[in-house]
Amino acid sequence: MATLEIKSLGKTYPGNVVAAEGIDIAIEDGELVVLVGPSGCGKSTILRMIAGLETITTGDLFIAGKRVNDHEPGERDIAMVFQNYALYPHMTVRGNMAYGLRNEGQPKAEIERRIAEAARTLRLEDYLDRKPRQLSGGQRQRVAMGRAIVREPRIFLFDEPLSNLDAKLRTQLRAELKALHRRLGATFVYVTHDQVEAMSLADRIVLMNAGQVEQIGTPLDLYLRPASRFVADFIGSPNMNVFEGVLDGEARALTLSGGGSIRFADPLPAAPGARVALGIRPEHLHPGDEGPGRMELTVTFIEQLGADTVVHGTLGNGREPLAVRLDGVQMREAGASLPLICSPEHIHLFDADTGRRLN
Amino acid sequence: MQKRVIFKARGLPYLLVLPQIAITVIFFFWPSWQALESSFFIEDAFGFSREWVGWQNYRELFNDPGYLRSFRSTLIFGLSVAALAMSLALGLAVAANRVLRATQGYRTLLIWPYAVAPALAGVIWYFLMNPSLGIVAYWLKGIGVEWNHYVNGDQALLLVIVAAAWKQISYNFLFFLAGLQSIPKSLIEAAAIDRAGPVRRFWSITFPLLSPTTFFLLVVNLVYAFFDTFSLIHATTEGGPSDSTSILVFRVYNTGFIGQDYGGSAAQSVILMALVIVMTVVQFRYVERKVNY
Ligand SMILES: Nc1ncnc2c1ncn2[C@@H]1O[C@H](COP(=O)(O)OP(=O)(O)O)[C@@H](O)[C@H]1O
Ligand SMILES: [Mg+2]
Repeated sequence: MATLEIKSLGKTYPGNVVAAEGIDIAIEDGELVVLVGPSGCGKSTILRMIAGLETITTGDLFIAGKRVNDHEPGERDIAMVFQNYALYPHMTVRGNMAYGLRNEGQPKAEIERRIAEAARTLRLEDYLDRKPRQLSGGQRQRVAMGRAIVREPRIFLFDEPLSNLDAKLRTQLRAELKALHRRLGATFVYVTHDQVEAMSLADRIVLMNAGQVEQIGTPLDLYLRPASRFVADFIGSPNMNVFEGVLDGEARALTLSGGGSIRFADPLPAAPGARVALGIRPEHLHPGDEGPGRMELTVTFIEQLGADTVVHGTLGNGREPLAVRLDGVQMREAGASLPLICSPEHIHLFDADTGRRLN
Repeated sequence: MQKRVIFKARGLPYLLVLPQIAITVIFFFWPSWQALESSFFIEDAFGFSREWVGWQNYRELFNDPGYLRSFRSTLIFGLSVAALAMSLALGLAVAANRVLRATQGYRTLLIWPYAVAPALAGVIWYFLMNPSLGIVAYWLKGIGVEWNHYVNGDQALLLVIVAAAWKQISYNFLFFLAGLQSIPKSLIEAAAIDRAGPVRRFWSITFPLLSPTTFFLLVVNLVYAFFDTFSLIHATTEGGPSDSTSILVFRVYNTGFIGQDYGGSAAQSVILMALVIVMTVVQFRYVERKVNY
């Protein structure tokens, strides 16, 4: 159990590839923090610097208050689960779990005890004498976790551990992982590119973009008050509707770049005449005729998801795409018109140039 | 299990492999058959007449203490060459694998010895080690080692072992390097996190995972040392002094062309052939079954 402090951390790979820059994250003892972002944004690089597998170019790294920049991976009291599992193919499941403990010089009885306990937790008792190649993907994943658990490290690191599994197994293992975190009470740092995984697992999310931190906060923070247009776009499915346009002299109406306009009852919190991007999540639009923030959707196609229905179309007769999520099973003809309203507290306003949040 | 490709045409596939089959028959099967045949005859030195003697050539071979000594020196020679060439190559490959980016130039340098013809390799080492004008022999004298492989049988054997191994290092290096690069980096990283130091990582992870390559190279190196080193020995020690470097292949030549005992020479080649067959079978069996993690 330990805190993890990352101070203006940066990594430049040979060839002047800047993979991460000015990263500041303070992770509390026992917290589950998820690093999320699109592929290539530097998540793995940060995780690997924490693990000691990659040298730190700039900045400092503290584990339990101690600077560990120059410590070997084995001296940092961490365990890591790799995306490809990285199980030792020539050792049995038992051998894989025992390897690290033997290197630590743990007594035989203690090794046996920890393996038995981890095998029970992860339901691997029947597979202890098998080689990794005789296991399914989900079982290999559990062995990789078992290998981390038996070490009883202070910090667990996960690099996209569920990416190679099918959707159903992924959901199941996600729940197991969450339960494991609660039981162990250890600090977890988890890397994924999947925003759903991040939302469902995290105590706090660190959302990254192009080697920099875009926003840090609880899943609800990021959903309800995205700090930038990038965050707004990344979190939530289907994606948030975003319209670019110019506000009028009273900041009450937005003239859209794609044609048409939207009127609001109260002035928006932005300078009159400013160029802004306005975001509304598909689940925050409701059918209705009365009220401000009214807009018309011309239906192009619908997605029936069972529990809800996503209607895709354009705003008015223009070219701005618009999607709305309706409860339950709903039928709409292509070409039909659907009047929608949105309450003011669900409106996100971003600067059109910098993408920073305005309201 | 590989899927088979099935051709409808009858003639074309056979036509395509015909040249290869012809080469194999003319240059391998025919001489082999001739060797097998002559090993049961005694022939006069000019090839005018011959006499069927059954197993006599073989009986004489195995009653000849010189031939049995050759077996022993071949074994020492082969194992030493394999051990020396493979351990040095593995060391170099591990070093190269560490500094991957520098590998390109390094690799080219290391491939050179393999391109040198065996006889030429022999000549190079002959000059280096020559007791009267060799530079290495001179250095050795400087540190108090009296080098003369014309007199000292052990030194002669050492010389041919070193020369033969030197030529084989580059070949082994390439295979070891390819083997090392096919080991996923994350395995080594996982081991580092599991508190294994570099030496321990090598012996507990890297080396076991290299075992298919190692075994393959062991057989290849033994085959090389046993059968492919004739010209090297011919150019350096000519089997001497007093037969100390006269390994089996060299003896075939000596018996046949110097001693003009064709039957005895043929019998020796048949035994060598049997040895190759056994090693090849072991190679395929073992590589497929055992060295498989
Ligand atoms: N060993 C490396 N050498 C050079 N560039 C690298 C190396 N590893 C990663 N990169 C680059 O650094 C950036 C971030 O990579 P990474 O941390 O793996 O991203 P992520 O895990 O978020 O997908 C990418 O642009 C990638 O190409
Ligand atoms: Mg990654």
